[in-house]
Amino acid sequence: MERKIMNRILIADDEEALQKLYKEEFEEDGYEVFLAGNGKEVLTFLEDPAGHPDLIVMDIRMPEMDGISTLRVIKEKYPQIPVILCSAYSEFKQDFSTWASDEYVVKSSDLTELKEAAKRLIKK
Amino acid sequence: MTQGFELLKKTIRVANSGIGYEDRLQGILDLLIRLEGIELAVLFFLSPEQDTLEIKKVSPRSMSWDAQKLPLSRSSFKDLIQNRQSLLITPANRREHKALFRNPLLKGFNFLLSLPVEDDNILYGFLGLCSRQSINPSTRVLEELALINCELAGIIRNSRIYTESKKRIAELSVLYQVGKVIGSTLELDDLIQKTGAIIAQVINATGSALLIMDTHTQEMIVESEFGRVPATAKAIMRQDIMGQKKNYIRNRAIPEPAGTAGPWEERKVLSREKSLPQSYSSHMGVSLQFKGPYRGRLCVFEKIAVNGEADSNFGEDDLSILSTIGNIIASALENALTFQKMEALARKNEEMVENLSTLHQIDIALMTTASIQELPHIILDAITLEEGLGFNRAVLFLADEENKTLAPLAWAIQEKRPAKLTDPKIPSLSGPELSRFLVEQAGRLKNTPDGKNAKFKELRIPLTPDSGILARSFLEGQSFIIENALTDPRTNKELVNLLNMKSFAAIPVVGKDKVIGVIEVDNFIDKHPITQGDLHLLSMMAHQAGQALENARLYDFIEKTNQELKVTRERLIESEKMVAIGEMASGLAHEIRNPLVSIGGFVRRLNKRFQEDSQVQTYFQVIISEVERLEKILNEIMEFYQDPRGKYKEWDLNRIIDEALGLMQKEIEKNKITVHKDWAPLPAIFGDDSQLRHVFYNLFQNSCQAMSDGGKLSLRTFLDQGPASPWVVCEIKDTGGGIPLELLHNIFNPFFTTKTLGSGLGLSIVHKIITRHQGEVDIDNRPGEGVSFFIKLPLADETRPIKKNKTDGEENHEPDLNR
Repeated sequence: MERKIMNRILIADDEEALQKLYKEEFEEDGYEVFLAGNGKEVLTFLEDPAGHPDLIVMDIRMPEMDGISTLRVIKEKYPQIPVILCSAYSEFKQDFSTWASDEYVVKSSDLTELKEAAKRLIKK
Repeated sequence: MTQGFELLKKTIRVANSGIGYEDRLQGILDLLIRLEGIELAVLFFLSPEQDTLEIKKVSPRSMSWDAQKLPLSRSSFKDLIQNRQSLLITPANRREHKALFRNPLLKGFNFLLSLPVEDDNILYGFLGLCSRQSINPSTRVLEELALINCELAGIIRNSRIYTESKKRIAELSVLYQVGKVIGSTLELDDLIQKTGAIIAQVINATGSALLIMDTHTQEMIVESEFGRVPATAKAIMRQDIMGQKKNYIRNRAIPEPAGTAGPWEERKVLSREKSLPQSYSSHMGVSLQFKGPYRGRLCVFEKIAVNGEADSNFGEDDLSILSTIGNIIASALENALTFQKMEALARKNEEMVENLSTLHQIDIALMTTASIQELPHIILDAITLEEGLGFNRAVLFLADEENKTLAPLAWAIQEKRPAKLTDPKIPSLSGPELSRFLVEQAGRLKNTPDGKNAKFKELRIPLTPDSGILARSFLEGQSFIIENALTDPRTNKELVNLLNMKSFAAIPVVGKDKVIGVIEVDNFIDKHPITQGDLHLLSMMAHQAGQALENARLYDFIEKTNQELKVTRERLIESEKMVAIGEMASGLAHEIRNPLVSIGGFVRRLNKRFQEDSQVQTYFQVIISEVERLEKILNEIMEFYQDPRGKYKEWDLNRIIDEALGLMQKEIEKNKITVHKDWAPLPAIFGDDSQLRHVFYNLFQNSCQAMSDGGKLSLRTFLDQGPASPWVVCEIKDTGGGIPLELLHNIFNPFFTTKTLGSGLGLSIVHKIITRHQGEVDIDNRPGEGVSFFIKLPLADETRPIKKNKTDGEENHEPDLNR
């Protein structure tokens, strides 16, 4: 089989169970998955330009550094990397554009919406 | 010897006999003409001034004579008076004394022997012995005549002393009588009556008059007459007072007998004034001297002739008595005047104390209530109660500022309370009972309008100067008394007819410094006129009433505002609760959703792994669908607490800030924070007022917490044109020391979980609400000094069109434009 370069996704969430779920699901779909527990770890990860992901999926509420602050830095330093905000807060869905994220997905046990958004953003 | 001795003996006998003084003089003259060769004996009296001679007695009595006076200046007796010597006039020296012989009595007598009638002190006159033949008295005869003259002088002297004593006694008795009368009373009117009578009586005058002027006011405070007083008297006395004339006598001139000539015609009236017109009554006037500011005049008129006195003129003696009486009655009158003044003052004082005590009681009654319903009744009852001000009727008109009219609010009519009048057990309302009664009465319902009342109740008096005296009273802030309501052109005829008024008063009711109404007061039952004193009292009462009414109005206003505030506060608490529930639900949702996603996610993975086992598959399907159901419920809860855009309306931001500030009033006062507001007129914004109010409430709360030891809160609104589109901006600036730098970047962050900022939730809500309203929150932090929040909101006109493009998921919430 032709070896295809795998797309890289960075998942940021403080819940270990969710990290594991996302990792397994996205790896199953053929992505290379990296994990971060908060915004700071995301920014550390991004310091190496060679290892830049093709997509970041990030929770909003995280310890040390939250998703919104992190998003602001990412959009300033690495505007080319698409970011999906994936949060339990459904009420901010209508406001997500003001925070300049590329997508806003409310967390759900059905990962279809997230996966489709990821596919959409990576295709671009 | 014997003839001379006989004569002397008889003379002494006559001189000491009991017959009258005049008869004794006559008797001695009658004895003298028995002397040989003496045909006529004449007794001349020297006037007290020693300037005229007057024939007093003549013998024989058959000779006729008249009582003309002879000025001494023209007579040859001048030397006699100086020398007090006897003189013998003979034809040889008669020419030197021809003036004397012009008197018809002495016509034809060639010889006249004149002898001085004197004692060791006073020369009383001369004795003249006349003869047609020669007189040649021997020394002896002359000595005898000298002795006889001594007797004559003795008679005259005794008589004069007697008369003088009698006069003195009479004077004393007059003064005693006057003194008795004066002492008998302190009442001015009584005193004046009595003195008028006694003065006329003791002076023997037909009338007397008394005038006293107050020198301050130039007004006559006493004008009294007794008996017959000429009509012109008062005018003349007034002039005398003004001119401060001295005491004087004016006697009417007595017509001269016709055909007389010579020195005797110079017989004159006693007056030193010129003769007066015949119509003018003879009178005397004396000035009355007072210590106080008065000047007076006492006059008596027309002397009554007594005991056949030759004329009825006033004499110097009369004037001196009158003057003495004047002095006595002046001090008595002054005492009476002072007494009268003091009495009047005491009466006035008593009345004032009574009025003040009544007003005080009314004031107490007014203080008991701040009810705008009860107060008018207390006011009107106080005016109409017998124990209050006691007027028959009072109506309170209040101004309707909007319609510019006066409208009757309430009225009261004096009620006779027969129970009280007949039953002595029910005491009259004095002191505190008055205020208590007024308060009790106020609670009762009165004045249910019947036919005429109903019409009266609808009466509206326009507030223009030509709508009658009540409107004028209101506009000018003046009290008025109308004597006759029917004829006075200043009254409002409609009102006059409705109330059937005759005489009434209109008093403005002043609250704070503005006229708020007018009270009409009248005595339509007992018809007592309303006096200036009444008006004064009513004005004081109206002033109290005005204050009380104004307070009641204020209280009413505060009560209503408080009520509104309470409702707003409740509503706010309600919305705050909603926000809190929303926050909780949102937090809960987040907490639940994560594990739920894990569960759901892993079950789905399990489901993929065990696709062959249909038994396990059904179990997984159940878990998956149940998790989906839970997620759906969570979504619904979240949506329910989302921004209710359907409630958005146009609002004035200044008003919303003011309302939020009102809710903080207590905390602001408690922390001694001064608030400075600078409102600019702003265009409307579009949003939910309760949420926006919450924004400012939270910000003010923040400031208050920061300034717990006092400070200054400056609020400013303005329109900022902005780089792209204009903002309505409110700056909230405090002096609370600012925000520590390490906290600053996280104050709006609701997701910041290191939990350093315990109260940060308030500011995160602020941020969330303003963001929802498409606004912005800026901070100007000045550490150590204070912080300024800038709340920026787009104008309503800017928001609505944008909103149409952003209605994803909320199509059902059309903004309510028909507000």
